[in-house]
Amino acid sequence: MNKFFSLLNFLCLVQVLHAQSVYTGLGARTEAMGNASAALTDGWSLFHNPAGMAWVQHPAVICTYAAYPLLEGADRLGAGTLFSLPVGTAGFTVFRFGDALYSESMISAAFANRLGLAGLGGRINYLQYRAEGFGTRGVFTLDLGGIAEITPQLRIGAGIRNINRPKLNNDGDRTPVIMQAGISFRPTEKFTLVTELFKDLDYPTSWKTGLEYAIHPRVFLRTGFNLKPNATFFGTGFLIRKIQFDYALQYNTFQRLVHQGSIVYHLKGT
Amino acid sequence: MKYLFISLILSIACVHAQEPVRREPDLQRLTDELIGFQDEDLNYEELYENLVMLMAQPLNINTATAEQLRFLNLMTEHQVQELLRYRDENGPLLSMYELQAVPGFDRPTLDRILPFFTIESTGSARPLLRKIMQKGNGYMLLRYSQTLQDKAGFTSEVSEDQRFRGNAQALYFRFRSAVTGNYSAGITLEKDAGEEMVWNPAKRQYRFDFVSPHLQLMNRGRIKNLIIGNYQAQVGQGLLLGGNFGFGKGGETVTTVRRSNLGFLPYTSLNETGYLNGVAATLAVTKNIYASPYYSRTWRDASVVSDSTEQSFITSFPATGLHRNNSELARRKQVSEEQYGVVLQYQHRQLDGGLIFSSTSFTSAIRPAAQPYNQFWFSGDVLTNAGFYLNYTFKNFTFFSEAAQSLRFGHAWIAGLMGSLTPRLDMAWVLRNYQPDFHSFYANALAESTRPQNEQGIYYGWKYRISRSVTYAGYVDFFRFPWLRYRVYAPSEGHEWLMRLTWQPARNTRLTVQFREESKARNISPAEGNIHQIATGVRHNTWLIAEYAAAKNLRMRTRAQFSSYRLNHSLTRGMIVLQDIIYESGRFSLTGRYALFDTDDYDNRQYVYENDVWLAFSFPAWSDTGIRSYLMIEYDISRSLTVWLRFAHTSYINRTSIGSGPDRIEGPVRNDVRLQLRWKL
Repeated sequence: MNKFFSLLNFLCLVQVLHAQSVYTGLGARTEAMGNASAALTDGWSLFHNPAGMAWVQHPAVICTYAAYPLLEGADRLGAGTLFSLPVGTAGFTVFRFGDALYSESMISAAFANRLGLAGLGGRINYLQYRAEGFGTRGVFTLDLGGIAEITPQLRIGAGIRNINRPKLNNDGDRTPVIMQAGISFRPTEKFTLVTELFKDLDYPTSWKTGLEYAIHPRVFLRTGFNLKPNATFFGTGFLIRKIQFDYALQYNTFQRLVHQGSIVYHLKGT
Repeated sequence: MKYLFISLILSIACVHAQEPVRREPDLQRLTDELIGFQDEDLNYEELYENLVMLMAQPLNINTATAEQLRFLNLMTEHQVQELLRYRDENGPLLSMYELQAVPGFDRPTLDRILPFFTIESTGSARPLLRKIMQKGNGYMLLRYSQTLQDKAGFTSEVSEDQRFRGNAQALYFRFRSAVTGNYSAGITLEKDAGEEMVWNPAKRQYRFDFVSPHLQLMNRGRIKNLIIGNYQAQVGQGLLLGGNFGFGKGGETVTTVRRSNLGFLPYTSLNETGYLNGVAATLAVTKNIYASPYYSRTWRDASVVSDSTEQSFITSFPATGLHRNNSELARRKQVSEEQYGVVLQYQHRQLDGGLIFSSTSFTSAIRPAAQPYNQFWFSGDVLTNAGFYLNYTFKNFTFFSEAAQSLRFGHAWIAGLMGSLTPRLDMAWVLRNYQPDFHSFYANALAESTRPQNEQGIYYGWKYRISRSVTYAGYVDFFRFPWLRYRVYAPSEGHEWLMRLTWQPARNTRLTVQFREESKARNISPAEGNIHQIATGVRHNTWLIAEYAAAKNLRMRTRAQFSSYRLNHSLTRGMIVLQDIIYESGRFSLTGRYALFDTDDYDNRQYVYENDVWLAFSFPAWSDTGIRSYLMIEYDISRSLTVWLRFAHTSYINRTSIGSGPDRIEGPVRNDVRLQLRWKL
């Protein structure tokens, strides 16, 4: 019976996903802050607004896993690395969603650089859809983003995903263009607030907000919320030597609880 | 050292300087700041009265506890902590002006809090009776109100059962004498329009329909507080013992979601339900442990019916307090409610925790008429609750929580964190989970529903002072109802958010813009049959408020409110626009308003605060299309005698009558007059 329902769920999901890829933004820190990532600048910018990478000074290896206990086959996995070049910061990621019946996989290469008070970044993705019995389909997509440091406390960022809108099939379905624009506000070393508007043309505009508070220089508490669709987020992070462990919990009506755990290994610094 | 120097200068200066003149708080502005919007059937009038009654007794700035400072909802946690620290380090403040030297206290904060504080010490060793009679501690109030148009209940248009037995005058008398932290004594007598004045002890009526006395003594050795008569309680976060004190969600987005732990207080409101009557005491067992036993026995209005086995039971508790005709009198004081309990409190530095036990019993069992949505409502004749609360303050943060269990039924808990992340940014975060079968008759915990029952939620609130004159505040609240609700016949979810931007370039000039969205499920009427579907109703509100001083004695206030409600593809709208004028000159002041309202339906009714005579509060809701205006004069006849006169006029366009049943008024016009006298003893 359970199997039947998960299959049903799954079919619905495939139906929904027919022309719409899953969101590829990952990372437990970002997730715990409501995925309001437009102006966030950390290693997880690899999966979000690539411009944020321009502020990352040390090479790192990152990996994350998101679990959907009530939605079989919907788990997501992401991993990547980023490093400084003589000019700018570059990185690579892999992403996978789904199971043997249906999956989406993506490999990406990203680059970002500082230009005065601003950072600009871009990312090229190769996205492959695979559905059992329907074969596979691959497309290249392009993402762009920018972040400006208005004051040392305030950053404004914007990002566009799938700006080239490749065709997915002969019916004219294309990968969705997504735009996000928001701010990050850091009045003190301990505290970061992020908020953004997030628009996918097929859905109402989302409002995402999150905050992070360092109760100790190496211990972080986070929370956030999204409106349309509604979701609340909680999370925590620890920095132990060079390794950062983050956990995020999301609650929403459809998937109930979503867990995500991430590890960032800083090859230098911290 | 710096502060010492400042206080030294101040203390020298103060030898000659006078204390700032304490003005009456600007109630309308406070209402705007604290409440923000009114749309549920919460008892804002009682809430307001409670708050102002407490505010009418100014707190001593040097002895006020953190909890009392927070209760005013006017200071941020950062300011509360800075004031306490300042007092610890520098000793008592010598003048109210010295507040300016406390870090984090800016001019707007000072202007807001000055009416509620005093520097004078209040303790004196005189006998109680003499203190009550002492000059300046007490007042007597006499109020008369009447609607000039006759309601149907006064005429022969209605049946004998509906006919009002009394005359059309509403009368109200109050005596109160109090010194904060020392004693309070008072009595309130009230008769609503249409109620009969009879002496009938058998029916528990003593001429006036509502009689409410109290006597309170405080800080007598180990007895910290003793109240005899009518009282109310505010303990923990109000899950078990809550008076009408918490504002909850509103325009003041951070401080109002935490309930202050005030203990037992005299009941002075005109609301004829929801108070306790008997004895309550708070005793200091040791330096840190307090025990507060209480006992109450009251007669409650109730609809009592008998079933086929001749057993009588209660179906509902009417809360109108109106007993004008036979059908209303049939429900007056029908059942006796007995309640006892105890609060054990442990207080040590920043920690405040307590255990609460309470048991309530009725002379008849409660059995609400069965409906799908009230499956989990309380039925039976005894309810026993136990719970605990825990509050802890660290640095600029305060944690607050309460959990309670209804014996044989469900449980409920609430926990939150509030604080100043930076001196300019305050945040609040509250989680709550109330089971459908949790019961508490005197609760006022933060909730979307009127009772903390059948609800889960998470609240985020923030307030950021962008600059000295600009403030941005907001909140988002997500809620979930695991069981059906009235007019929502399925488990449902929803959210609400509010944002407010305030610009205050000068003390008397303030511009406010405020938006709110609420998304909540509701039944949509079935086309046929009785199977209900639910749909999401989305409500939007916009407020534009401008206040400014047009001349030295003349203040103006312009306000426009707009709303819309969308449910199942139908969109309705409403609005009100109004102009206030306030003229003050010496012993005379005049307040006037002219307002136009136009709403498509009751869902878009517009609530606006109205200035009323001292200690009277109006939050009427306007729907349909019409005009509302009023004029009020206040005049100090002598130092001790003040008179108020208020005339209010309402007229509707396209209506032939106002109200329904015995309240029906023929014609589109209603006029009300009110006269009040206050004699300061």
